[in-house]
Amino acid sequence: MAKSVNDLHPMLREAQAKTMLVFEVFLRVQPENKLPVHSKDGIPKPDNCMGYAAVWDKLVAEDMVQGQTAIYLNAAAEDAGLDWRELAQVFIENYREPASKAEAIKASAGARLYLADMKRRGFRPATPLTPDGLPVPAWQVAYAAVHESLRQGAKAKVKTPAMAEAV
Amino acid sequence: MSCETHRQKAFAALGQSNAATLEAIYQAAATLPTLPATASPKLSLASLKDSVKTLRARPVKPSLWRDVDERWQNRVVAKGMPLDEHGAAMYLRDYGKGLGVEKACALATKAEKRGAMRFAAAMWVKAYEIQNKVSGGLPILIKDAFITEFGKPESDEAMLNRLKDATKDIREKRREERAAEREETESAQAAANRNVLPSSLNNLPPLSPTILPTSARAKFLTDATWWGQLPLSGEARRVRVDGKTDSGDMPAEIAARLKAAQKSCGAYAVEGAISDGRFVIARALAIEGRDLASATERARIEAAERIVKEVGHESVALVETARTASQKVMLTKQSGEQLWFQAACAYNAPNCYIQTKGEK
Repeated sequence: MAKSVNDLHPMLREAQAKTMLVFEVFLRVQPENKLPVHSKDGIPKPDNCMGYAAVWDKLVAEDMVQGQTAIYLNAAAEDAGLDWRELAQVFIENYREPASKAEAIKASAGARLYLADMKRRGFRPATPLTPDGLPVPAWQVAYAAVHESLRQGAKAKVKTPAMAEAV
Repeated sequence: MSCETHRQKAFAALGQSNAATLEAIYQAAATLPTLPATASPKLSLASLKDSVKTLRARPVKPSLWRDVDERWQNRVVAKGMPLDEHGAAMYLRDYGKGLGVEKACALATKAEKRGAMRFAAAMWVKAYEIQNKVSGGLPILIKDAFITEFGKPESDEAMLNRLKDATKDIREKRREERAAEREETESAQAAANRNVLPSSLNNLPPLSPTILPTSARAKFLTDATWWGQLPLSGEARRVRVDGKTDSGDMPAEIAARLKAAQKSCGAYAVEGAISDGRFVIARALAIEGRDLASATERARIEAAERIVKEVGHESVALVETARTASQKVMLTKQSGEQLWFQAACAYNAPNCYIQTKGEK
């Protein structure tokens, strides 16, 4: 990335986030796990990102992200009683640099939990990881936001049956 | 293998029927459209002022300082550029290509430090333009209004403050150096004087407490600032231990023990009396070569305690001091006279040493 994610045009930022989701689908279907990108930051050129963003929209519209092509968001959303499309939206909307040092720390913690759960379920992130096992800060914020949604969903799911019994 | 092949393989893995559709969608969308402009900051004098305030607050990297100092000297000063907005325009025309926000800010700060306020104002405008990607520059009216307002010549007071700030580090460093030097001199002086008694001791008059009737002591019993002692029994004498003064008619053993304590206590002088073959000390008048006459009675008694502890032999004892109410009551129960004094008074200070007569 030549410049900060926050400096990118919102449309391009969204396209980059969607590209990562398409790449997660690719990681599931490509036996050799080769992604169509050669840049160090793991993000294709802006025009290619626009292409992948359109592919992602098609995959979602045609309900093609399931079964063999299911990504981590499908599995995690199901357990938390959430719609995976909402989680994907959370991921796309939160792809940005942390606003403060406190948020950066919180994001790295959330991202670690997200990646640990991902690994436990046998999925791999499409974002390149640094030697400390985390992606760059902008992806950390996105992962942490999804993790928080999953946590909230799981909490609500636990509460619901008990409340129903009480009624 | 190229990116394209990987992509096509991945699309194929999603199903042969989908592969072509997805590739077509990808190809159709994989062009960078003319992105609609995001809401750009409103170009106004107010937003310019706000931005400059933020930019000024940003610290300049030390490495950038060296660069900017050099450029200021070699470009602005050496080429005789005017220190106003025209000079800034000349600088930007000649060297402004590829100028970043940080360097523009550093140049503006440098100009301000040199008192070139209009040059600085023009540089702040440039920094704002670079930061907000203002193509074609700010409207001339905004620019001029800003330069007129920000580029006012410094008042004498502002200039004085600026110069004070600029030399603050140097002044603080000098002050620290002077303090360290003074401390070193004082400690060296104290070390040199450690074994020499102050000459002021020679003229110190003997302790002369005011004598009051027994009824007067009620005040001292309740007032915590007053302490009490039994007066020295026997002839009160001052003993000077500095390795030079003769111990007079002091028993040889006691004189030797007092002298031995000089090693740890330095030159000292005490007030005491020989009683039952022991030397009983009431207070110290000097220790480690320091005069204690002007110090507090508390300090004199503590110094005496230290000396007795250093001697560490029963032949040298300390007069007990009653500090608390109960100790003072015990003191009054003893026959004879009592000496009362304020814990925080100088030696022989008027009305601070009172001797009351005993009941019997």
